[in-house]
Amino acid sequence: MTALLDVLVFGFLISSLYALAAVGFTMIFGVAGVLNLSHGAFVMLGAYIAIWAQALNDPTIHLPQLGLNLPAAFLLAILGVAVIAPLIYRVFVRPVQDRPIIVFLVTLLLAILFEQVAILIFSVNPRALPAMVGSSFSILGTQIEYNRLLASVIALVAIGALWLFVHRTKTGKAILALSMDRKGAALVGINAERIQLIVWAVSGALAAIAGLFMASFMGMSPLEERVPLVISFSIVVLGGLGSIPGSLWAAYIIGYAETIVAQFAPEARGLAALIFLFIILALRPQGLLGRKVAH
Amino acid sequence: MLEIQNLNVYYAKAHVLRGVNLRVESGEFVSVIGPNGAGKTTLFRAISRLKDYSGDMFFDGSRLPQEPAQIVRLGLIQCPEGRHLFPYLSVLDNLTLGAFRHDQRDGSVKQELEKVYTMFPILRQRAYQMARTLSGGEQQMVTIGRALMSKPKLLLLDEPTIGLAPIVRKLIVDALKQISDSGVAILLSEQNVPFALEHAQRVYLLETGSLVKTGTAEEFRRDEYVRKSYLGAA
Ligand SMILES: Nc1ncnc2c1ncn2[C@@H]1O[C@H](COP(=O)(O)OP(=O)(O)O)[C@@H](O)[C@H]1O
Ligand SMILES: [Mg+2]
Repeated sequence: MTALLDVLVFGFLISSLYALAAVGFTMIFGVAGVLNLSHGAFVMLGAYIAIWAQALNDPTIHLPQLGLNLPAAFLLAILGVAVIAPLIYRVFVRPVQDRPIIVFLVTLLLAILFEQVAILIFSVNPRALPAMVGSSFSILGTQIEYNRLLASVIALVAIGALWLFVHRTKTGKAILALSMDRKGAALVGINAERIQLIVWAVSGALAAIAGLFMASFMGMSPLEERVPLVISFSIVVLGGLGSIPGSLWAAYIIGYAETIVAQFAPEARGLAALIFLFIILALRPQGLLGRKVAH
Repeated sequence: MLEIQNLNVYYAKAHVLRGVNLRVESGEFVSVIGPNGAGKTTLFRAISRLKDYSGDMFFDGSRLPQEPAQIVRLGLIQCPEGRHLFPYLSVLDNLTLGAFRHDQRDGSVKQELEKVYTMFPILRQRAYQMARTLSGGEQQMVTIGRALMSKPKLLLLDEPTIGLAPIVRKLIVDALKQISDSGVAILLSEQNVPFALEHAQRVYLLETGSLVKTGTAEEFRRDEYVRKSYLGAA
């Protein structure tokens, strides 16, 4: 019973982290065909902005410090990445957008740059964010931390809000339209440029939330930005490139698969997802909910 | 209303439109005919700025803007070749996106939607189906409906009846007549010359990138060359 509840709760957290990271990655691909290799760096950036903003008199962080309370630090992290991501798009990606290889190179270099800057300021050692709320309660004999419960609620709210945004707002519909047919979108007057800026902002915000999760529950080091990138990549391939619902499903499938495997063989957790991915791709190369995109 | 002067378009080094001059007056129904590969689609793509060009284009007296989205805002709306619907969105979503440039809070979008449903009643039944599940004729109706939702002043239609069954073609062509009668100017490209001439006031003949002939539909019907090459007359 204890193990089952553990798997349910922790699996949900991990899956939500994956979903938040992957959805932004897939949206950026969907609307512009851009594979953003600095997406993992956005996740890391979110975590480190919060780590920096809540620190006070920490001699291991080489920056002036604010000592904000946790909610304020989280908010700053989310807003910060939501501003930095579209800036990066506008300055570095847009000018080379029609050349996929250059986009690859530029976003990869940016990711490495972010890693190096983070190492300079924070060192390579892993860090963690403190819990937002302390203590725990017990249900059916399992201890559940309030912090995890709160994080689950935040994840649900973030994913729900994203769902509503994409499916219930005019801008959201424009994002879907743009990812299905670029020419059609242009001909109804959708400004692809503006939509892409919005998508990079939303994607940055979601990546930052994923980063907060990661730093809260697993710890984060500058080089570990590769983990969310690789996971986003896998999820997006599994869910079908550019498909938002596909990547949500895939995130929960991979997240739970990993958590279940980790219960029995902790060392095999990463492997399980990969094997799963290979099986799916062999059976359905377009991904679970994959589909064609018209240009 | 639309005035095109000395339009030249290239694909890489291929000179595809050669000094095209074309004009559509407000409320007019104008057809462009010409064989496959003549450059009709290229002309339409240039007008909507999906393709760069050299030359001058004016709409209601001012130069056309550079951005497709701004051109849409002027009321210059295109039903493109290949339709370019949003395949995984519902018919209703596709139609509503046609009104993307318009304020959707007042009732005007609903009104326009009613007009589209009145013109193509089948779309009301299909409203919640994904666009990709529709037949070709129904998809073409959605494309035209989506364009109408944009409140066009000038509607460009690039071979809207291609590949459709005769009975559906008739329906589409009659809808165009209805749209034209409501005061919307129409620029229609067609390979099917009888269709192109049916409701048009003026016609242009485009061959390998050049406009080789222009005149009223009546003049075209009588023209020796047009009869021989395009109307199958002996
Ligand atoms: N994307 C493209 N790249 C290169 N050549 C093209 C492209 N699109 C069209 N063409 C060429 O331009 C000419 C005109 O094509 P198009 O405008 O599609 O003619 P139409 O619509 O009258 O059939 C053709 O010779 C065609 O091969
Ligand atoms: Mg054509």
